[in-house]
Parts: sequence; C-alpha cells; structure tokens
Amino acid sequence: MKIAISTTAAGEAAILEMRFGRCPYFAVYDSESKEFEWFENAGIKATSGAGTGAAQALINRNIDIVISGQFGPKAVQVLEAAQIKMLLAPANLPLNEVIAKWQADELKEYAIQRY
Amino acid sequence: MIIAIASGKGGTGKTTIATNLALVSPAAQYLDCDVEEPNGHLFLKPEIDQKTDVTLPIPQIDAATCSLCGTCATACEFNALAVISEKVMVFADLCHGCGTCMFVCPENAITETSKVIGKLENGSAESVSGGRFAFTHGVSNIGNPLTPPIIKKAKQLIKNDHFVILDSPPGTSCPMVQTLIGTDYCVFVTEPTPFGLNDLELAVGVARQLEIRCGIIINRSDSGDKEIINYCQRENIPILLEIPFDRDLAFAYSKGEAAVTHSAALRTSFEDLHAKIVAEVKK
Repeated sequence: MKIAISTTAAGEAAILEMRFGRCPYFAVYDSESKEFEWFENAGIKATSGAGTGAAQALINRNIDIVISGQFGPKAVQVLEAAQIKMLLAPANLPLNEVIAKWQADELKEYAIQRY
Repeated sequence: MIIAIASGKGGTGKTTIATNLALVSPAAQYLDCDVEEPNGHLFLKPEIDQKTDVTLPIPQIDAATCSLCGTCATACEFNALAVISEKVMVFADLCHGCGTCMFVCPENAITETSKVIGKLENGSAESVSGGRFAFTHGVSNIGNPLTPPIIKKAKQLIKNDHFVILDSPPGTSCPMVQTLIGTDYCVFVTEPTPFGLNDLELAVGVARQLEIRCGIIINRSDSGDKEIINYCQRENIPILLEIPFDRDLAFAYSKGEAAVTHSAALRTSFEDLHAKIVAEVKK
C-alpha cells in the first residue's frame, strides 16, 4: 500500500504540512518496503487548481491513502472519485510519528462536506 | 479616443469621475468595466434596451472516444481537468476557456460547450446638456471567478469615433489590465494618503508596462498629506484635477445624484477636465 503525506520538505526530518494542494513536497511511504520517497508538488507554483493538480499527481503515482492537515473542496472531489482515502493529521507532526499514528489507526478520516 | 479611469486603491472615486466626465463630455460613451460591482448606473440612470449573455467555452469530453491518456490534464495550465480511472473530471470554475485541451487531445474527444459567466447590458443615458450617450455595463455572475472575458466582450462595443470612458475595476490585477489594454490614456484617481500613494505607484507601474500615458486626479485633496503631489512632480505625471472634500457633495452622492448636476462649479471643473484629457492625448 502506498501512503502519500504532505510535507514541508524532502527527507526523513520533514514534518507534516497542513495544506494539501500547496504543500512543497509529498512523502510517499511504501507499507511493504517500509521506505519513503519524496516528490516535489507542482501545485505550489500553480496559478490555479493546486488541489486538483496535486490530486492528479497522487493518482498518477497509484497512491492508496493520503494524509494531510486539510483538503480543499475540489481536491476532495478528485480524491474521492479516485477512491484515495483522505486522513487528517495534526500540524508539525514529524513524518515517522505520522506513520506511527496511521499504523495505530489513530488518524481520523476526512469528513467530506456536501454543499 | 479611449480613456480608462482607474485607481489602484479602491474607493477613491473612479466611478464619480467616470460618470461625471461622461455626463459633460460631447459624444461620450460610458462602459462600466468594474463587472464584479458595476455601479455607474446608480448615477447615470440609463435606459437599458439590450441584454446579452457572456459565455466562456469549456471542454466537454466524449467518453466513448476518450482513451483516458491524460494529455489534456497535463497540458492544462489551470489544472481544470483531472483524469481518474474511468473518466475525465472538468472543473468549470478553474477553466479559462483557452482551448488548449481540445487542441492537444490525440483522440479528438474534446468539444467545447459554453458556460454563462455574466452579461452585458446596453442602453443610453442622458447627459447634462439633454442629449443621450451610449451606456454599457458588464455584470459578472455571483461566484464567477473569471472576469476578464466579460470586460473583453464589453470593450468590443467601443465606438472609435466617440470619447470612450472605461470605468476600471480597482487594483492592478488581470481585470484592471484587461481594461487598460488598448486605451489612449489613463486617468488614475487617488486620495492623499499613504494607502492612496502606495497603490497609485503600483497602478502607474502597470500603465508604464502597457506604454499608456497617465494623469492623476486627487480626490478629497484637502485631507491627508502632500506625498501624492511630490510623487507626481518626481515622476513628471500631470495632476489633472484636485477635488476638495465637500459634505454637500458627499450627501448628493449618497442619493445617487451626479456632482455635475449638483454644482455648477463642478460642472465647469469636469468640462475643463475633459478638455485637459483631450489635450493630453493629442500631445
């Protein structure tokens, strides 16, 4: 299973970035190999549609679960349609603790707002 | 002759200047390009005889021919398309109607459909001399984030042999730039405060990028400081008019009464302003 986490930087010292669409990097954790890799989020420089662009990047990388601090409404539509599970984690949490909380099943699922 | 009345800072009196200038200028045409909040009609009280929708072309995907290759989503500068396992999602709110997706689609699976984003209302208003002049305003639909196409459409109605007054939206972003493009002269309305000066400098920067000459009107000129005057001298920008604060004028404004019908002195000031602008353009 592949888990994407919005992070402030690349590297294991990174912490959780609260914003999904405008996070600088995504960390991708492979639950089988137990290894991380990082990719830069093009959304940080996008003139518009950062959320939909970031969601598309996760789809293209076959992500199963995404963990962030908050999700915008358009990103949610794409992630939901792509059946990528959205989980919420508190700000400034170090990456290894995000994974520990996920493994302990302590992360809340994002409640989709219907307008 | 096409003149934009712009400001940088909001609330300095663009519409006051634009509408009063329209009321006294011979062969005037007034276009309210502040389509998010058009308010010139409150003072000009036009008779509207024609309404047209403004639409934006947005992509429509034919699911039968789409191969879900994702070329369209990659090409979209605005991230308005997302490709998931079984379909392409279109976010009309993000679409700028550029047509790139349709152009790059290898399967020709994209056609354009139109989305109404606002409307134009055309008519005429009565000038102080009793004649009538052309009035147009654009009105953006509530929630529509993209106003430049409405401004562009309104500007297609410009009558070249007229004294065309474009009432610009505030700020220095795309809607203001869209308004200024192609004009012969720009009048910036400001107030003598640090906020007025800061935003004026930004607005003058836009005009200079577009190579449009400009002049300044200082509204509520007896309040605040002298920094606008110093700035204009330093930058060699003419001050076309200074309007001191006048409680009676503010009261008339609050009732939707034009300054030029309220005060004979102001009518003369605006007639002089018209002559000064014409002279500046011909320089």
